[in-house]
Amino acid sequence: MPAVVLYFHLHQPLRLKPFSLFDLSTTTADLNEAFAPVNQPILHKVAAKCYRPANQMMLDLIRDFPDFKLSYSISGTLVEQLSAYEPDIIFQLQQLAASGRVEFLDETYYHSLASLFSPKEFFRQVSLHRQMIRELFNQEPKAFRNTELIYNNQLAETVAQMGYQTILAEGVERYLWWRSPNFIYQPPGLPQLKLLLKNYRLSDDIAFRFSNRDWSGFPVTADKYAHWLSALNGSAQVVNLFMDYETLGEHQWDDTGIFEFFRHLPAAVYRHPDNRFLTVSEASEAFPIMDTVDIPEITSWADLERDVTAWLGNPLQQQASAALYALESPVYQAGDQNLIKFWQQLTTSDHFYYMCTKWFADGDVHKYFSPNNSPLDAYTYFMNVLHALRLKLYANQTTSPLEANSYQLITGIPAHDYRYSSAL
Amino acid sequence: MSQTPDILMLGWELPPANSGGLGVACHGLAQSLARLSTHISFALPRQLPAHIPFMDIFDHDLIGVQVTAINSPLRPYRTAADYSNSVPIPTQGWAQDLYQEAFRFAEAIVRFSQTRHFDLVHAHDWMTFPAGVAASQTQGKPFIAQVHATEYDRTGGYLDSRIADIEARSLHQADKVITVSDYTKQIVCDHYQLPAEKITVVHNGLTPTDFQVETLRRFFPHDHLVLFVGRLTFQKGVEYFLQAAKRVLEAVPNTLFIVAGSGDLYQRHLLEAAYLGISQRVIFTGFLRNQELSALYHAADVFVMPSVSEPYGLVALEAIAAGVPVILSKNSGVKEVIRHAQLVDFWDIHKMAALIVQSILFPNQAHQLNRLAQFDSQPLTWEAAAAKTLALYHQVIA
Repeated sequence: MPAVVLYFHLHQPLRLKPFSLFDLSTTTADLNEAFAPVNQPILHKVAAKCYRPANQMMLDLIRDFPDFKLSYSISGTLVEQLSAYEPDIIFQLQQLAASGRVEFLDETYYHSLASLFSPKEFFRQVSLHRQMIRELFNQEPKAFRNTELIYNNQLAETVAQMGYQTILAEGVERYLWWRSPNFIYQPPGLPQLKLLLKNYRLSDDIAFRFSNRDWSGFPVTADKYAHWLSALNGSAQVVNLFMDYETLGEHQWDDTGIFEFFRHLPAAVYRHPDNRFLTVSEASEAFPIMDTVDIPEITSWADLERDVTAWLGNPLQQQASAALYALESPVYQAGDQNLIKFWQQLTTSDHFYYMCTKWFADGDVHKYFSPNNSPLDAYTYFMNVLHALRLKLYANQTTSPLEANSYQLITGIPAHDYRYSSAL
Repeated sequence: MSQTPDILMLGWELPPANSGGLGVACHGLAQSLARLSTHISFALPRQLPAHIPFMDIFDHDLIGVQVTAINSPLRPYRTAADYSNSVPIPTQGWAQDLYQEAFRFAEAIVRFSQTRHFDLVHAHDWMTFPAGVAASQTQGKPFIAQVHATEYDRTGGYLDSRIADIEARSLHQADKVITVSDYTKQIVCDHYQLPAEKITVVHNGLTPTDFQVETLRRFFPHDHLVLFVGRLTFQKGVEYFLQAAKRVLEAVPNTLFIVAGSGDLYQRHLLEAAYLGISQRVIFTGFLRNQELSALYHAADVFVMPSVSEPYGLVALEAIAAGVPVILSKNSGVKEVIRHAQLVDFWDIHKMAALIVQSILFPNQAHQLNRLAQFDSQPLTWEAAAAKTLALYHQVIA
């Protein structure tokens, strides 16, 4: 009789356009020019194929099954786009929140990798997100999920200090050893923080393998799946099914039967005695902590490696992220809200994901999600956009910080004496 | 012999559909020859739509030149690997590899040459050499081979023997050979054992541009701009440019390096910049032309041509014309005509870096050098190149 914890993540990035040096003039006039025109049509498509029908289905299920519960988290990047172009989706989500059976988790507002680069920025973006959830859904999140389930002991400590009671992570086998992800755990030394681990086999059976005809489990029906869940009886207390909401209708298209599957899942689960659905926070309180799980390395739910190499695995990604976070202090010191927001928008992890050069199975996934022709292009566009940001940032200064000591270094003469004529 | 010879000219490409300097050179030369009343029938390979099996008129802006597109998948600067990837095999109609394709193009040119009168066939670079030889032999007309680059330039000695073989045989079969520089003449003499007296050097001209340039300069108020323009291939030496950039940045951090061009080493150079830790200071623009390229030239503080082997180096002349001081590889043809340029061995990244720093810290001196370089480049016109070429035509036909 394990409890089923359904958690969906909603996010659409604000993609950059193919950005050349010759876009500098329009972009310095309006930074929003850096974003691709395709963002809106893509959002429209995903809203039509996934968000709208999926939300409606969940509303129906909540109406039909008095104990059906689920959890969501949604990036601020997506909320802003939905508010501007597909506001009815926000309204649906508010209805879901108002049902009292949907829990919203916190995450970084811009779906960023800030936890890896800047504790300050991480805190800022989580606070922004917290405020957004409060305003939109009238909830105070008690549970936290970091971007792409990026997690380690250190993050757990930070998140515990911020007052969260539950955190989500990937059930990475190299740290679970013989243990099952189907229990409640705690990070080392943090009994106040519950650790919920994704059951990646059962989650990916839906998220990735659902329509795979070469998979032995194909076709998976709600009854069959409920049977698998029941088979865990006695060896599991919770089954954490964490996945992208876009699995419904976007990654798995409507014609794969994904909506039918979810529509029938609650009834199929309830057919087995004592089965139930719980939200993330309910589950973490319903069961005792089974053990401490020590995860010193940074893990995530991405790719076969379950680490951060999808975003930071090659030197292009490392250079791009270093260049971005090098601008953090100057941007905040300048204090211009537009610049700060633009900089934060560039922290979205997807920009780095597009620069991934991994091959084989994972590369297929990256390619599917990338708006660019190649990781190299993605990198070039991103770096050019950073130049635009720098240009705005230093527009009113006579010298850039880089310049400050260079002349002196070489000539021993202060910089302004050697400024060349602008007529050149 | 008539006063105005009829020339069958074979090239790879013409602007605006060009990917490198060869198209620009063919365009400039053909146009100026036509102005000297030479009748030029220019043929070039082009992948034509399925309903046009053999040849078609080619859209161009050359006045007084007839241009014909011959159906062929030959494209300039294509590598053999690239060819076999992009041409579906088994093919109906297309040959199995790039070399055979050059000979298939020759067959088409023979067919084409039978339809018109010409006094002489003039072919540019190896892809059209087999066609030049074939047209010359079947029609009993003289053949002039013009060398814009050899396989030695392109590969730095790790040559494709099949291409080198085509070059060697064609150059020996030619009645006369034109090279674009003394530098290239020397390579041809050394590597293909051609007698020096068979070779005439005709330096390329420079087509003046009249673009209204909105300079990019204002977008880089705090940065010194160091510019590279060229295809991203081994021949162009971009890796040395990047290594020099690393050294320059240690001394002058607010320098920005702009790499304008595309090519098979794009990925490698991006990664090199990243490994060197200088990505923030290197901008890769991709392939640019016309206004965009002019805007870059006009924004640059110094132009570097770090070529491993550069038969001529048209880009350096373009930079000079835009008022930019230049640093040139010693392995280049253009250094023969531009006396007022800083010269460097392509591998000497320390000196390259020192020259860049010197140019950006002492702009007055650098611009004095540029003004002198502009004088040097004044005689480099297509008119002069065409006159010299026409004289050679007369000599060969007589």
